Amino acid sequence: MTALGRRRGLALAIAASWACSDPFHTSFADIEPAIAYARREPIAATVPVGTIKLMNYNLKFGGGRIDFFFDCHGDRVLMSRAEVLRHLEGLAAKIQQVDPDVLFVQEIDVNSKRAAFVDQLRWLLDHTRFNFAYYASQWKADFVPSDGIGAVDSGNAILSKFPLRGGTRIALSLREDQGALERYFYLRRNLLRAELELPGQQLIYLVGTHTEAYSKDGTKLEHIERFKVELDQLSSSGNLVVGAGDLNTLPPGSAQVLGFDDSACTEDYEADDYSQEADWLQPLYDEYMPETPLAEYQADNSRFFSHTTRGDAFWNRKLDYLFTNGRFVAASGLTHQDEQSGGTATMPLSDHAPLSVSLELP
Amino acid sequence: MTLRRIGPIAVLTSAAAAGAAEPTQFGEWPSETALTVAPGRLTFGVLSQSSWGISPRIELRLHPLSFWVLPHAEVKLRWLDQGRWQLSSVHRLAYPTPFLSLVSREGSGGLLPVTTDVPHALVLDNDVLASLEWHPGQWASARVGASLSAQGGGDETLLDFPFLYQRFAALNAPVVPRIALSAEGELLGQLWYSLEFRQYWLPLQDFPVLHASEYAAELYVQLGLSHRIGVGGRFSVARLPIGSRTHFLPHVDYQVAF
Repeated sequence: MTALGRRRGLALAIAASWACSDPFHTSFADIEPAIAYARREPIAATVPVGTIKLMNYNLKFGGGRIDFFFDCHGDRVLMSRAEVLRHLEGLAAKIQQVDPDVLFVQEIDVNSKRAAFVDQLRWLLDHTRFNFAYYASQWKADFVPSDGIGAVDSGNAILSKFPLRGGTRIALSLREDQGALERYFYLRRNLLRAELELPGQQLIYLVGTHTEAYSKDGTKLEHIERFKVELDQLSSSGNLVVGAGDLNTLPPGSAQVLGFDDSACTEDYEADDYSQEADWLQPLYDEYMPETPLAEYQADNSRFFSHTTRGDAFWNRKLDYLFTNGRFVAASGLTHQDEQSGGTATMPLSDHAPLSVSLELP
Repeated sequence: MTLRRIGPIAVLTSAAAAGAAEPTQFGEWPSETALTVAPGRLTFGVLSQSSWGISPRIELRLHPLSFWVLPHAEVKLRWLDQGRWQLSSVHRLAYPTPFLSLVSREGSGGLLPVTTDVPHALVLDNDVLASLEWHPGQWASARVGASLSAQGGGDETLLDFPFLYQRFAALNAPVVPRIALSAEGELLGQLWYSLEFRQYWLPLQDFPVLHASEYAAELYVQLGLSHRIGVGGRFSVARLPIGSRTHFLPHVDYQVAF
């Protein structure tokens, strides 16, 4: 066999080996570039003076209040394109009403059968005032052969009116309490890091995440700790940093930590039992400024609830957060729960309420 | 060279030697050529379809295991026999409803949502197949065909599973045209090969025209007239609603003939 033949044979063997080792393309490198998006026709953004507005929103992949099978309230798996677009219009209207400079999102689908293959990030860019975005997939498979889910590509994103650079997907640890096959098709959570370029300002480092929700093996805590480590590393270098996301746990001092009225799943593991997680966020609260001061939350939890799986009820726990090593404008943090708190009804839009806060620029 | 590498080669070589006394010819096994299997010959495959030569010009095919979840039958009709030139048509009728019902389920194996209202459907495949024996024992073939379906009621059943996608696309498109080019023949003694390129066009509703290309290669070891083992793989390079994807499906098959 010639050297060329050997090389071709080796290349074929590598290709076949790769195709066999990850046949459904579910895997990611530990660190890899995030996927960059840009608005097709950029719109001019007003240069911020003194502050910028930040927002965090778990979009529930544009599922609105459809009762999906995974919440055990219904049996839906797939949406029609019309349903997805209708829900996106509602989400975009809320985002436009808040008009943030930077938006962190979780559970945004860019190429999923369940969302009729609508690229929701592209759609949001084209229907809001953002110009740039980065995307990091947390659940990607050519086909998930379970429950009719099929093709899926869903993850975290950061959208901005101003240029973003250095978008990076940092892999978080995988659950160890699953079999190999289930783990192969399961979510691969991540930190999405990007740098915000504001005219005349130093770079602002942005870190978005959506930590584990269902693990029984400590993976959720690992994710929260890794999130803080990332903020710590950026902060220790003298950078201004903002971390945001759905951390899937409650703040310290929450009055109710289990037995929520929207728990419908009857499997042996209760995903919304937070009784063992009372202090998991304490280190973040100790070292970073939250969008809602902890004392304020502890005085009245309910004003800051941001999640419920039941569409016919009301928010019953706080899972979503923004933190900074800088300063948020005092009393600017808002959980957009309804018309009274945020100006519009958000219960129909997603199973999470958005948060917003203003960041003081140095 | 390690024993691990030598092992499969030794098995293939000894198997080939064992069957060397009985030369194999086309018509003894089902093929992608326009030839039909010999009259009265019956073949069974673990993965491949079984075939039965009803007459010198008619071959019937079906898979006896998958038939029970995906009822189907295929007939190859040889219209022209000019020695080196052969012309056939292939017709396949399938009733995919039981299979779609089987994979509409909760949990693992659920390729479609459990709530899917599976339609009653018939899928009809028709192909024209021309083959040329360009060298003794070496055949090249070209195939042109299309897949059509008729269905009543029910939900859309977009089965976007690799390899199945193109084969069930007719349930979501007015017609799924395809072409194929293949080559088959004797390689060395009792070692035979089969190469195929197949191209599908997928004019699915709600999507721009998509396509799927498949490249297949298979090596057969003939164990006399009655047994053969096939080892091969199939690459699919497809532009689907989720984007361009490549998938590989290796397989090993055992066939027996009577």
